[in-house]
Amino acid sequence: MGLLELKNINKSFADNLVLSDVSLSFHAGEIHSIVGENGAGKSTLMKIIGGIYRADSGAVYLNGKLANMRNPIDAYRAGIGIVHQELSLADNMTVAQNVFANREPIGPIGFVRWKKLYQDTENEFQKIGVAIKPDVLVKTLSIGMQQIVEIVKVLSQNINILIFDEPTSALSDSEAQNMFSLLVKLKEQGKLIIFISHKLNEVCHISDRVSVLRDGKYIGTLEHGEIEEDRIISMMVGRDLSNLYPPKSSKLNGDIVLETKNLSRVDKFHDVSITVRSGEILGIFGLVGAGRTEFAYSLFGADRIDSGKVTFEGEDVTFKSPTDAIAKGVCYLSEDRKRLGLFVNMIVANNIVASSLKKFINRSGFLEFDKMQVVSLEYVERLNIQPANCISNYVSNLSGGNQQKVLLAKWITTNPKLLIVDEPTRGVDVGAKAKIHSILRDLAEAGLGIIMISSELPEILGLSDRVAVMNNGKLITVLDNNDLSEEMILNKAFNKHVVGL
Amino acid sequence: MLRKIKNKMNLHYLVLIFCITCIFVIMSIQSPFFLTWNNIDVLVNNFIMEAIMALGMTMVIISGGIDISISGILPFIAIIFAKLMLIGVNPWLASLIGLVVSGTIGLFNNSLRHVLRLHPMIVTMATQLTLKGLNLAITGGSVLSKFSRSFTSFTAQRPLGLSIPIWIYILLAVLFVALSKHNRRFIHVFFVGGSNEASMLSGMKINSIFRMVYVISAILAGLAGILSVTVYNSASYSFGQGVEMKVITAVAIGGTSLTHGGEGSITGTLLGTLFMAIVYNAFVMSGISTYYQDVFTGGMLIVAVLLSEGARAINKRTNQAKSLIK
Repeated sequence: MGLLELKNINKSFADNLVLSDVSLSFHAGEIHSIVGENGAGKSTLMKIIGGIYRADSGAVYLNGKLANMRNPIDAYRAGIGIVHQELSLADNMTVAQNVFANREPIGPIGFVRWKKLYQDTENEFQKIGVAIKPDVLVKTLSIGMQQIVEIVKVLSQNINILIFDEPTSALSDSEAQNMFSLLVKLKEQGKLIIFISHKLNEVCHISDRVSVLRDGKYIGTLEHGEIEEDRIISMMVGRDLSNLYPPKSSKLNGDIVLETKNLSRVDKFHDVSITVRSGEILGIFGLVGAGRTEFAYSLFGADRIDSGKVTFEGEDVTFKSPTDAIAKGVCYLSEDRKRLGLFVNMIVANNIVASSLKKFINRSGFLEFDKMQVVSLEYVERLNIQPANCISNYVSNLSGGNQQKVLLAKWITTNPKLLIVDEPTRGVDVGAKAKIHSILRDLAEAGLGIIMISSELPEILGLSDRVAVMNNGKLITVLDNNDLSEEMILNKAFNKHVVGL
Repeated sequence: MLRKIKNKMNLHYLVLIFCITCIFVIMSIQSPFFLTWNNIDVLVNNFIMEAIMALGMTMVIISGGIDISISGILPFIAIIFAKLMLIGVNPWLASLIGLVVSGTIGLFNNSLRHVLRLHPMIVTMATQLTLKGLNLAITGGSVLSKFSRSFTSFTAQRPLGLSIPIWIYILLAVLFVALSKHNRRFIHVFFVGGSNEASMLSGMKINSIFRMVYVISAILAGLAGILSVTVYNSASYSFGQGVEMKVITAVAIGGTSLTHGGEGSITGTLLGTLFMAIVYNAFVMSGISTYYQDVFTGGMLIVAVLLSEGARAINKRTNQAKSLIK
């Protein structure tokens, strides 16, 4: 009998069956990963355990007793805490206020006892061996540190079942490593850790057991010793993915599309010199804060360049604004697609043509909706955006991977020469990831130069033709991607600088 | 970093205090009457109702909402209070009834917001219009007055030289500063305004926090209505015309963000209120047509919003730089 048992859970939204007859059992003192493609039902299942949703039928047993949780508060009382994918911290408040949100120690007239609050907060952080000032505002912390605040917030509530929903999607590798050692520590304290992640290498690295969901159904559980990436993937997709990444470029000596010479921006990056050729994918790897995104911003005209030279298609250029850059044929896909890339409250078709509206204006100055429709349909088909009849759906209703494809489509319609993609597959499931990778490769084969910024080493190694490594605002090296290993790149990325958390 | 942000807050206060001092000095030089006790008395009493309501409005705006129904509530409660007294109800009981009714209106505002999921601007606008209509219907457009001698002599009292509304305001201001800094429920208002979702996931009952701020705002508007009757010894549908804009402006000038919930302070509002009061008085004293007051108020609102957004942008940039250097 496990600590937590799920029996025959069913859940549907409207007519959409999201979970069908799922039964699972979890033990105390294990890290149990739940994997599956987006839409497989992982998050829904976790929300049922956490009391956010209620199952249509089926039961949740805690220590062998039927648990009836109607809301997150009930779940907390039962000792179940969720560390959410999107941080659930109020960033205008202090660390202590967040950790003890709604549980502040109060005196007789409802006034907060600050001393005790700060002391309690420090104690909670000490339990996991982290020192932090309790009166610091959360918005001033790094994302990694915020994640730790979130974890401490959950832990401080006498929790023995901890659910992590994509905890590392926003973390750099070293921050993620720190978090894993924390998870192992918690497991050794006898807590049950339920871990959800798209990053299978992480899953394999830390899990004691792995359970796989597919299309809302329970497929199976791999015990310790059976856990292998290929095996998990074939269970997830129901078939073997013989090769995760598309082949490398077939023409490595294309014309130079973009060249930068000693590009600098104060406090952001210094002396960055790179070249991008048509037909190749240049991967840029670095830890969070290495200056990759900032570099891309400046290339794209979204931020100034303080010194240095940019040559684009043989001409010296300075892009004064993104509009300028787009007009010349440079595109940038933001890492934060919901906020900076897509109009999530508009339909797919409108998003796809949003950056190339000029092409659809007829002589009398009106938009040609028929033409927009046709072009959108073409891209939906070409990029395999799901569902196939989605052009009049709202973007917010699509899954992460499909949103990313819409964003790609939006930029491809502008016929770019250089495409800068920033974390193109963050939060995207395996199947969609592979599709995005092959789209990027196809675009390169069609003659585009592509700069791909990524924090995921397997992606950098799997897709790039050359790898540029940045650290602390400086370009450390550019390597041809032959026989590179993750260790080699990481060593470069740390570049003897001590990176403190 | 915290110190830095505190400095940012202080900067806003300093700018305000500086402006207030400047106007003060200029006016004292310009007009010999400005610094007289009489004028200061006028200055304070003229803006006291707005000042009282600004306390509640600050909490509403910090929660991420807005309450423009106050300009309907103020005269409505004034009229109810007056009517009750005219039919012989004891003034204390009439006040209590007035406050309970205004609290109920606040509850109503929040229920509409919650149940219909409407933007508070829409809900409170509807309440404002409805009440304004009721005010006219009840009074038929006439002014209610002729209260008992005992009432008028009671309200004319000035303990230690300050009028009753000012004493009440002082008490409320101290209370609100303390509550907003240290009371758990009030601190949760900042949480809810900063992140609805985070608050919900922390197990806060968000609706009860919203309910609290809307009820407080409405009760303070009701209180202002009752106090208006005590000041003017009459009640009219025309009380509180456009008062909501002045109140919101005072709050915004005090540094509470109209665009991002969760940011602001009662202390800032106290300064913003003082600033507005002095400016209005300066208009009167310097003989500029009072028609220009609102032109100035509008301009000030824009300046205030620009200032707080500017401070935000600077803050954000320094944070980004910090995280990069880290």
